Amino acid sequence: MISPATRVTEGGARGLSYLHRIWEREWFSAYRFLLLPIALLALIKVYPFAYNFFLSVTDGGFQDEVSFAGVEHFRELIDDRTIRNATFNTFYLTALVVPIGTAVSLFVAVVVNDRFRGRAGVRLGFVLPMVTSVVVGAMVWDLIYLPRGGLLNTILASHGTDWLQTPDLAMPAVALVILWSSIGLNLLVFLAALQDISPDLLGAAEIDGATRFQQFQHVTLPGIRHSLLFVVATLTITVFRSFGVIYVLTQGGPVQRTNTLVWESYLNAFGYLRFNRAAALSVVMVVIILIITVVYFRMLRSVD
Amino acid sequence: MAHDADPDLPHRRHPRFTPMTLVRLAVALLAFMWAVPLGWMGLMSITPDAEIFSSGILPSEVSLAHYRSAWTDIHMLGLLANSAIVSIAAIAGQVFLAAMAGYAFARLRFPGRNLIFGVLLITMMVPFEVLVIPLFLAIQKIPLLGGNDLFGNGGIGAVNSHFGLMLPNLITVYGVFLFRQMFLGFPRELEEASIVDGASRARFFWSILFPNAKPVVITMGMLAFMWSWNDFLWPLIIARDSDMFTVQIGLSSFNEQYGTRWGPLMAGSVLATVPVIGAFLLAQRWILGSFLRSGLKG
Repeated sequence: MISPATRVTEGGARGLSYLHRIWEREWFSAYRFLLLPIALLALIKVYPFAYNFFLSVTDGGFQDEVSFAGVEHFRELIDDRTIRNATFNTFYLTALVVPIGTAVSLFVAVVVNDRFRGRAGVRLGFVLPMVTSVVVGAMVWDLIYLPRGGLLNTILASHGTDWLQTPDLAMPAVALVILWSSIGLNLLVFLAALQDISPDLLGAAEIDGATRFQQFQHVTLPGIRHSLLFVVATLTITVFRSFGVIYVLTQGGPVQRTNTLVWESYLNAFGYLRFNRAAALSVVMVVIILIITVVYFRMLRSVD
Repeated sequence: MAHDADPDLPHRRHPRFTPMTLVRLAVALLAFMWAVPLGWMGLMSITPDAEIFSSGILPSEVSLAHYRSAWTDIHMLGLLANSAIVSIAAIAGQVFLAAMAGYAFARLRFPGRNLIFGVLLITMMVPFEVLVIPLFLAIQKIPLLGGNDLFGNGGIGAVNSHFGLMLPNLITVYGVFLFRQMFLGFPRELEEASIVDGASRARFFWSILFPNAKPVVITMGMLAFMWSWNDFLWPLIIARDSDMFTVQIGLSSFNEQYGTRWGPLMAGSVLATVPVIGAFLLAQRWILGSFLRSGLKG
């Protein structure tokens, strides 16, 4: 990886030696290292982000003529009952997954943080679903949810319950699959945070006669508050982005009961080819996620 | 009986039956339940067709017929090959390109450093799902590819090509961030010494710094593999013909076409899952260490 200029400067050409000095200057080196990575990131992250905003306030703009549409797409979205329903469903799914997911992964982390026989196996049980692809996971759950001969109905001895086609059951069934696949990562985040809590502090609390729960409440919980917020924020965003589970299991049905914003945006773009409207919906989701992020950072500062 | 004096075990008591034992058993049971779907997948992949919908749990005989039909009917080999091609490119990009950028941000001063890094951090918060539509439209217009002219019109660009499948997986801001954290902790004296000795920065980076970032390289390589191998939404949009399908798309389209052929589907799912689980188990030590310690912690 010797720069081409290096070899030539041995000949003593002053112009080239000058070029070589620039080539090895700190700022020039930095741009050399950054050229390819930044060009790629600009193409796949920054440009689509800006183009999305452009699409959301125009008509056309991808194959054909462009005309300015202003906030027309956004107004349509607000007036649309399907969109209002999808917004509700998205928050409903969040409410089903985030509290349970956070509580369970925290509980498991606190228990697994102690050393006992089989703890590695327990951890692996939760982590493997995280490594499994969403599609494979959802298909296996599809099989488990089958009304006739599905494992769930076999275990519960509830013959013929159609988990995914019963309107009131479909969203909880989807939520369970997301819970199943997302607990592993949150568990690992909590475990890493628990490693940083001084054992002396817990030991002192124990000597003072604190119960396990009191230790958890007064030592552990304050010690991991940053990770707790992090998990809540990232899990919320994970639920917002969940696409594969809905694609495989319900495709938004039955009667639109699992139709979320991500699904609706996919459907508008690649089902109805209404790219501008789908882009406007994406902008709405960006704004919601931005709000979540801002709230997250605000709370992060306020718990310090 | 004396207490264990092991400093790693601060609050272990006598190994007797305590209320904690019950809690641990409950958690172990939950972990078992979490493992059930993957076990069920494996079990159904070897269960003969006639018994898949019977109420029993264990099959009466082990059948490999589903693996044969996964191979012939789902064309697993082609799917696995496409996934491998995309994943290898993703690993290479997310390791080498992210390491280069991470080095520049960690160690070099240049005009615009904070601004560029700030913009990258902001894009990290925007999930891929909301960029898919503009990215698809942009990729359709890449000039001179897929029948496009110089201005990107007339054809399909990088849609339905390996290059199109790879493109958004070639680098992540998360990787840049992870490598930056790693390089920030590397002693600066070593760098100055080798620069004074006449080595170029590129030489210093590739022969000294990069090899020393092994934990992050392994972690990032593993994550890149997992993300690209398991990716669904992007290949769903980009791969049009079945010869461009990745494993995930192939399985889901087989599921849509032949929804009742669960045996071959589960066999294919096993084949699609074994590589990631294997890679994860191999890299587990590093992932649990560096990936959590350096980057993700809130």
